[in-house]
Amino acid sequence: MNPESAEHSTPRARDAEVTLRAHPGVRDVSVIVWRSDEAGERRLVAYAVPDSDYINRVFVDAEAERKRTQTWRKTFDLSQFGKQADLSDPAFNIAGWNSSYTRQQIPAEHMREWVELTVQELRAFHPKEILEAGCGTGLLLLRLARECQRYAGTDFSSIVLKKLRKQMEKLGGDWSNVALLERSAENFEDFAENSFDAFILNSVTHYFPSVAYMLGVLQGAVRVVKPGGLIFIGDVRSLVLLEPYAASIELYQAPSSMSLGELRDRVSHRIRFEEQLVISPEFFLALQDRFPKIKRVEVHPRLGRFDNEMTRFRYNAILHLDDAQNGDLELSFLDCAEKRFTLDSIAALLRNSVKGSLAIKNVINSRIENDVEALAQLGTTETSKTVGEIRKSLEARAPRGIDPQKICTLGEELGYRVDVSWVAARPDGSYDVVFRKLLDSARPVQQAIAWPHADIDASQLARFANVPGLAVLREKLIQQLLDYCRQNLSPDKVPTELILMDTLPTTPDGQVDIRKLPVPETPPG
Amino acid sequence: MDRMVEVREFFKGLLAIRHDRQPFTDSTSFFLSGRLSSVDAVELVVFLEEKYGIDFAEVGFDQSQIDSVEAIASLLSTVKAIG
Repeated sequence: MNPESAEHSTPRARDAEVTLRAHPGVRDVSVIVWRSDEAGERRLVAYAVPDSDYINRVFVDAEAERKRTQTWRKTFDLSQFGKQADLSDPAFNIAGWNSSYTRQQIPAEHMREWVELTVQELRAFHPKEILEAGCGTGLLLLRLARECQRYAGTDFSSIVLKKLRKQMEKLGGDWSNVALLERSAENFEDFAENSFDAFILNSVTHYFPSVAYMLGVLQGAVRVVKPGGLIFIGDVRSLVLLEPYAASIELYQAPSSMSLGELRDRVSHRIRFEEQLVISPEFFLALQDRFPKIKRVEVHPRLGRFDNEMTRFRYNAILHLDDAQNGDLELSFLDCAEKRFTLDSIAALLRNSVKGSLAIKNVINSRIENDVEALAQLGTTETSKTVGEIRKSLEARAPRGIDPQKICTLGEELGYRVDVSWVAARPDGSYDVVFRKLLDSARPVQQAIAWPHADIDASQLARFANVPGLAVLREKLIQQLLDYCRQNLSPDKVPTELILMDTLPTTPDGQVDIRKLPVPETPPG
Repeated sequence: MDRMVEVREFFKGLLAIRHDRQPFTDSTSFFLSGRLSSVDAVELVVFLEEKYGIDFAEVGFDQSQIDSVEAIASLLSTVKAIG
């Protein structure tokens, strides 16, 4: 198959192009005639750049969202029918927690740390009345409820809640302050305004069907949480790290002999077929514009000693509904890359500090620097390289970054409170850190930090998240566009194939570069 | 239609949505290998429940039970034997 050059573009290709350009779902389009050498047959192939807002508006309707939510609910139901859910420890049901790398259950010690660190973080706020949406098998509830006056746990899976009730029974004691309710996260019915001091949504947001749904949940949360309370959104998958995440998983799973080209295809396939909602930290910062009750926002990478997808690619966002007492703490941040800081040089600075605080930005994240580098290698043109060679080059690379957990441990050992932040949402996963000397350990440092970050356009929240199951929605758009052509063009002008593109490749003089367009998949005839 | 033919057709449909045109055999692993996703697994579970009346709450669930055409054949025969 060969494309005919643009100069030979036939009137029927031009007509198809004009028609498709008029469709609101199309941002850009080029229709090319392909000629089969053997049969001499000509086929019209349309290359269209879709309008993502249109896809969101038209295909992400209530029915599609309901179906998506039902699918996830079923996944949780099924996880409780397996052997993994038979428990020796009723407070630790981790059935269904599988690693994207190995597809096996995440090791129990990783999950224990994950649970304990989350509980510890929440406990520091001393919440007395908690509402947790998506409480699941009670990993947080069973640890926090005893310390509360009231704990309402909701979950969309009746089977999971049934299991949780059994677990509570097995553990014994008084659970009369706990209410378990079968409902989806956006249902706040019967919860009064300003009636909780914490709303928890832990490791749940990636099962939400859309960013609009997420916004609805947060709207309810802002209403029911008292001024002075907090909204804790834990274990959120980061959109700015979706590409390094996909590269990391695919590189792990690929055989050494695989070519770089095939690996690249797998990575882009994984991103295109992402089924879960993946959100940028910028989304949470932008919320302040929409909900004035939110006074400040913290975003930090998930900490922990273990290396797994949670400690690499996920974060916690904490929305504070309190009034910042003293205004934000303005600090002068030193650039880590510029100063070439290492863990040792930071330790020396902290030991000799007279100021009592140290702020550093752009700390390369050692946990994912190889994933970011792997992604960069995929962008090169050396397609003859193999996965084995990429792995070797990554292993040989001298690490440049610092582990966020190690930086925290160091500061704490030297008597500092340490805050790390992903507010800046950089695509390499680098983070910022502030050390503050704890002069009186009984009095925690309260003042909020003014973290460095770029300006955020809060008017386009949808841009801060992906569209789960987008690939299926794109298929629907293709069908709609072809139907549109059939309705508006004579049969000979309707493209035989329509391929969606992120952008149309162009030549230096701005024309569509036909040679770089993908060859149609199905042979003519 | 023969049950296994129906199951093969169902897998074909799931693969088509992912533009996966690679061939498969009755022993090809779909879920444990990552060729299909957990969302696809749910679609298959609903199909098996509705079409053949399998109650996973009763028989228990593990992805290996539905991972290939062969595994499903074995699952269906066990369920039939129980029934």
